[in-house]
Amino acid sequence: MSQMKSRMETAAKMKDEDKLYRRDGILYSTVLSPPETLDKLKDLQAREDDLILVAYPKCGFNWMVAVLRKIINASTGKDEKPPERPPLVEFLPPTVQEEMAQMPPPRLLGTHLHPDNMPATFFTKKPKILVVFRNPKDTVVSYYHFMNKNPVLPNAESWDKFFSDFMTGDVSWGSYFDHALAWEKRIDDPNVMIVMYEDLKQNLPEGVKKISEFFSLPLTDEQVSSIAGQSTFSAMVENSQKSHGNFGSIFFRKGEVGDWKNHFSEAQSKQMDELYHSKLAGTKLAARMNYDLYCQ
Amino acid sequence: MEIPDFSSMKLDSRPELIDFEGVSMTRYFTDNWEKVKNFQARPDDILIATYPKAGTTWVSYILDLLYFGNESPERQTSQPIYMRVPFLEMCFQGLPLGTELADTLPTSPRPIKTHLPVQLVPKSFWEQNSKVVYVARNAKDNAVSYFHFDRMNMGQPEPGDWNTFLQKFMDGRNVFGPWYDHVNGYWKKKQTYSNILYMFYEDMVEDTGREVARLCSFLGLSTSATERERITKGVQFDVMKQNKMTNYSTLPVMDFKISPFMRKGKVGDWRNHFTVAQNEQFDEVYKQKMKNTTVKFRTEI
Repeated sequence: MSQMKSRMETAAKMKDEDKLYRRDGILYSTVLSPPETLDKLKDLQAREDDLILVAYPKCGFNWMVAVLRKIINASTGKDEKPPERPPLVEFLPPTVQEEMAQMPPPRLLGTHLHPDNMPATFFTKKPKILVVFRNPKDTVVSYYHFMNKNPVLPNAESWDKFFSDFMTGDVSWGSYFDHALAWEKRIDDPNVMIVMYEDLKQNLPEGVKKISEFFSLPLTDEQVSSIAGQSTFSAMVENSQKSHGNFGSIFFRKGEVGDWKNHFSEAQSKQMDELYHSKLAGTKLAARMNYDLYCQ
Repeated sequence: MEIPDFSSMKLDSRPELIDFEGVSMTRYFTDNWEKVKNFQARPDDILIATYPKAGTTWVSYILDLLYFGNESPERQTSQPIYMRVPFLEMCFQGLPLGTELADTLPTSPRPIKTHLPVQLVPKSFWEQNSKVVYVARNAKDNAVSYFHFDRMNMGQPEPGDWNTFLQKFMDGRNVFGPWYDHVNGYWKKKQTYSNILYMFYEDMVEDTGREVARLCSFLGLSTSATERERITKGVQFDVMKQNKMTNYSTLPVMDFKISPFMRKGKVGDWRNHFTVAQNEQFDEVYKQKMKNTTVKFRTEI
């Protein structure tokens, strides 16, 4: 946490307009993902036994990190404290990336990067990749609040402005829809499992079971229900002071499904519906996302 | 005639809502009540009645042009609309009383404006069989427009933020009472009083010319098609918004830096203000409040 804290302090002193920079058309955090970090990332060597977690920002990444750590500990019989830093590879300075090679398996690596911008070995070495998606309406609302609470990112000028930036993909880590379409192409890859935030909210024990099986980390039924019980959103919030220190309130806000209705104007809702259907209608991912249930 | 100077008009603070005969009001509309209540209407008076922000100024200007556009064109550049069409219940310090303005109107017929709900309209209008033009606007756009109006008008209670205002609107805690009662009251009156023309703001936006023709027919005016077309052009929203005599920019109680008196004049702008949750809640309340009426509104055209 101390490393993260010093970065946050650095960011807090920066002007908002300096907090992001553009690389190949996509915005990244100047403090957390400077160019040298992303340059070095190309050489990151994944292993077949890595556990890789991918999510577009605010789709439940931190929640799943906690769940996965519990699954790993329960399955391997270890009780390891979570490492100091979040497992986002795009936040790892070049020296730390080099140290990664010495890490014992299983390594938990995570990213918000678009698949085209991930280290090539994430696909060539065929590690198992868990991808979490959340309906775009709740995602943008959560992202908006995150922008306003996270000193590393610039404040969103207003909800309307942030919404319109999100719609055009002019936000950190790029367009939600580009990410979705990229994973749609890989939806049948046996090394990729896509889970929905909303499904996990509805039936976490089933989600824990599926995830542990996907990563070949066997759990007993008791372990499944114990992990699920400790990983509900309210339990995570309660524990966030321990798990994330002062950043707990930044990462965990409401965790609700449907909070978008309190932010979206009717016009914005219609706009999002149109964009969603033009981009994702008829895709397998859309069928899994259950947009009409969660976004109408 | 000089444009009246009301720069001395001062309001100490925004008024509080008061309960007046079961209707939310402020003292600016009740302090002169005896004179309002006993106002002497004439058979040829035309009462323009609306809930606030439903198209009052628009219809006022149309009527003014229909009757006096040709015979006294100087009115159009020398007198603001609120002097030509007095606001009956108005009672602001530094402004002439609405009743006085109406009593001293030199024109015949006298166009008079009110926002009073039907039960508070001076009896004399009904007794004299005066013509009443009522304009109704769909509740969602009306609420949005009223919100922006309250923000910029120091003569109105503090609206709070949009969510706070909307809750008040749904509860009917606005100056001149609940929208529901207002539109339903005049709709019901129409069944027993034949001299009411009930118009819809949405119809006027959709086809102003058609609605001007309806007005002429109701008023028994044989205005030529050319004249109606000229009037229709003159009362387009953007034209009126730029016109100092119709845009209320000469009244110091209104802060145009916050929001102009004439803002958008659109149908469906509510979609940019109501969140989906607010819309769902509003629809529920609306269904309840409007379940016993036959009046139907369009929230888009």
